[in-house]
Amino acid sequence: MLRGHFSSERGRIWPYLRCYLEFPNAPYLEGLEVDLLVDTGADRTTISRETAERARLSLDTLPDGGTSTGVGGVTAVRTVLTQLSVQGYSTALWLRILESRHTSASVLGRDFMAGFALFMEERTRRVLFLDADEVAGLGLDGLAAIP
Amino acid sequence: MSITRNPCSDGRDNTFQEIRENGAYFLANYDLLMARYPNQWVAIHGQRVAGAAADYFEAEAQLKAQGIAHNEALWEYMAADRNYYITSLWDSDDA
Repeated sequence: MLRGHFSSERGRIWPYLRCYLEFPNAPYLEGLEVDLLVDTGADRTTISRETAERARLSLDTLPDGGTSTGVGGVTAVRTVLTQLSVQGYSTALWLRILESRHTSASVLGRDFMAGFALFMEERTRRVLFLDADEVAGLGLDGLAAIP
Repeated sequence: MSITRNPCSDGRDNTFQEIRENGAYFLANYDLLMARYPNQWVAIHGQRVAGAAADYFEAEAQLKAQGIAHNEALWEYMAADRNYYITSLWDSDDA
């Protein structure tokens, strides 16, 4: 089980997962600890340009990742091979970096979350990522998905 | 947010080497993968396609049948339109 947290910003409460990012093609860079917004509407795990620059990544040297479309518009993205670690769990993915400076969004997408069941309860401030074995123990088998 | 050393980085060099090799395979074969698996999830493991399907969990099952955990592979969705959707929090002043 991975444990996230809620955090208050500007009077709003959002769920986050604290992740550790490392870049295998640039092992000389220090890793970066970052709180990623748990965004069930995001296909891809994406960080802002500001966050990338904190990790000293040079966007100009990274492969073109096409574009990303969000609520606010479309922006070009770069990609970087990344090892994402959380509380002893690690996985590799192509992390997206937004080229635009007009958003500070860094989000955890379904490319990471698909491997887990997400339990989120704002009342108790719990954000839990359960693996398949933990879900099996919840006794939810009788609850079929809505077609 | 801070820059620190990974507290769980045992075997980091070997893991990084595997990730690099899978990443290099992906980039070297990008056009082929796009032609063969458009709009599918592709899982690269051991410098080969170990799983591919439009449904993530079908591809994951292919990995599992080979004894590969889903987080041991490098995943990528081969979006044919190169237009990846994210939900963004654009700063209100700039939206």
